[in-house]
Amino acid sequence: MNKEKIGTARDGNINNTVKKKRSVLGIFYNLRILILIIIVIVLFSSMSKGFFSLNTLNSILSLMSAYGTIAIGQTIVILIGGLDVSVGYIMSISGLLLIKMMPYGVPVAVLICLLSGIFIGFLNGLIISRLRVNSLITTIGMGFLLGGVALLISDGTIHIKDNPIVDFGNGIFWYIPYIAIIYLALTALVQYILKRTTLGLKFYCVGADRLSCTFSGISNRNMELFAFILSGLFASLGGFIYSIKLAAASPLIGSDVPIFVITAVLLGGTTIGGGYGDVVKTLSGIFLITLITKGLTLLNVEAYFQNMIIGVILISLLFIGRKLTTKGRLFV
Amino acid sequence: MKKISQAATSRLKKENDLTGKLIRTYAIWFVLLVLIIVMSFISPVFFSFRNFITVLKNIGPLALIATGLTFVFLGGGFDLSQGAVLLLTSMLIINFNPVTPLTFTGSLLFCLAISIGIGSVNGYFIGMQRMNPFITTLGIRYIIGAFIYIVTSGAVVSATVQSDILEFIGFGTVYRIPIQTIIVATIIIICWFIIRFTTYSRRIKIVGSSIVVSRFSGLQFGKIQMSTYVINALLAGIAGVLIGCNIFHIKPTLIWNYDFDAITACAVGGISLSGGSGTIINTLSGVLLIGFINNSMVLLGLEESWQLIFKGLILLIAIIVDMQIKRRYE
Repeated sequence: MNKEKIGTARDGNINNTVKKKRSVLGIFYNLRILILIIIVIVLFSSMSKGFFSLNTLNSILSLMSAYGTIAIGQTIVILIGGLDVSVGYIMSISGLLLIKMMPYGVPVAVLICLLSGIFIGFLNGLIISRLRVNSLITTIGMGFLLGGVALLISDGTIHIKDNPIVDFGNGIFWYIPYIAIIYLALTALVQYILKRTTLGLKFYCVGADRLSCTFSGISNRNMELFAFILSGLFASLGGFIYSIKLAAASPLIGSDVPIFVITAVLLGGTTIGGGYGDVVKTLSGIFLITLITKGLTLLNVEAYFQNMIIGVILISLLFIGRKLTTKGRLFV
Repeated sequence: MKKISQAATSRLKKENDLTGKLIRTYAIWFVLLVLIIVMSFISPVFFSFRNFITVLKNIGPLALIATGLTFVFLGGGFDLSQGAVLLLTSMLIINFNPVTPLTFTGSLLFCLAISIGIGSVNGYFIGMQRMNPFITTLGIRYIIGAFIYIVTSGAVVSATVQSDILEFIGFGTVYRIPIQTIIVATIIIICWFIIRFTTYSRRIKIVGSSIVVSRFSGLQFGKIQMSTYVINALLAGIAGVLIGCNIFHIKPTLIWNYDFDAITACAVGGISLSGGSGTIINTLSGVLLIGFINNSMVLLGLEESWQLIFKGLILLIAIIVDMQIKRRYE
């Protein structure tokens, strides 16, 4: 079997083993992101006066919506054991198409925006599942290609003026932006599908063990294809949200999106190599990152420190998890 | 039982099949050859000594980091922090701008020591503590990247007057061959020798294929995996120094490009991303392919957008062709 696992996937299931032990430390480790979020909130609230307020919640929610939506699709791809680094360029292309197609009416524009994401995801999935090429390399190549296409169709940054959809993108329902409502609803929907339906179970199965899946009558190839289509769809939804929020789209935002989104997914606790994790974990990961960004901005600290904090958190959480699982064992 | 032995013999036959083996090993070289032939007909200046030397000089740093990454992939690891190491050492060497040979040796050793240090940290966490390589190197990359930003506060680092020593390494030639290319070629030949002829490379490959097997064979898998990360970071550091000699001002936003190119070069060349198989020759084919693609795009005078599109298309075609041929002969 050609298992497309990145790095050593055998080091993956930290969380499962911690759960089995049921020690106090294990329980704390399972709630680590929640505890970190609470610590960060308390810390920032004591340091800056304006932090603990509904206005902060509002701005955090609107900041995290676009990347969060992309992270939902990325979570599904990581669950089946792949990686998609073309999401950034799918996001910029669909955003550009949305704005370019605006003269033909809002429904047409939205439709074309989402269809472009589905189509690119379909192409990715076709190459990865049918021709069995490694997902990381395929999406890197596709990223180059899409970056070129995005430059070609844009002629620089483009924007829209005086359109009802921009009002929608910046609209607020009692401190909660409309785009955040879309994002939270999508998260709830995907969480339901992953945890309560057979379709979701199949995603977990393909990520955990392909051979067993084949013998159970699940088509690995179709599930892989479907996961990448979903990733493309959610990436284009992210582009949609980003564009209606800012009323603009740029071909150059693509390169740093995938690294941010993958970081958020991994920080939430979804393991690379597949089979463990869900989208609520991803939500908590992206919430933590945005919280740190927002708090540091309010404290007038340079934005670069946020990267250092994220790096330290990533490594130290992994280190603690490893220490908890390897007590008295030679290797896992 | 009979079926198993039959399958084994047929597999042996396939492995000994010479044409199959040749095609399997040299698929990317064929793609490269086709590209070179096509380009020679299209562009008049493409097939010349001068152009080939230019390509070889430009791919030097990429070849070094891809070679380093080959060690890591062979040991079953993964590295995203190379670009950060490369950027750090190139900024340091530009910032020092050493004038005398003594200070040059000192600053070179300092750069290499720092990259070995970063490699050891990576290797300690991944090899000794058995942490996930993807997340660990991602974290290290964030930390180094942030460190660079904080120190430079995001501004371009540059040397107003480049010292003679750096200029000699960056632009000097011996019999029309750049010094950089000679340095890179020497290092790659040493690495090729290590991977081809030493027992150390066997150990790396066993660790990369299966941790359990290496454990029961009595190998210190942690230390071996750690050593691959140290070699990798060292080569990335040298690549950074070479880049620093060549361009003498550098932006702190360059990290991302190099990581992806190195991973692509390794994967296109045929290094298994899950560990245990591959040679330096494979990596070299991937690096040359990327170098020649970039060069032909520039010679054809294409716009940035079309360059990216063609680069993506050729990479996708190369990897798909390679995969199909491998599947047919396996």
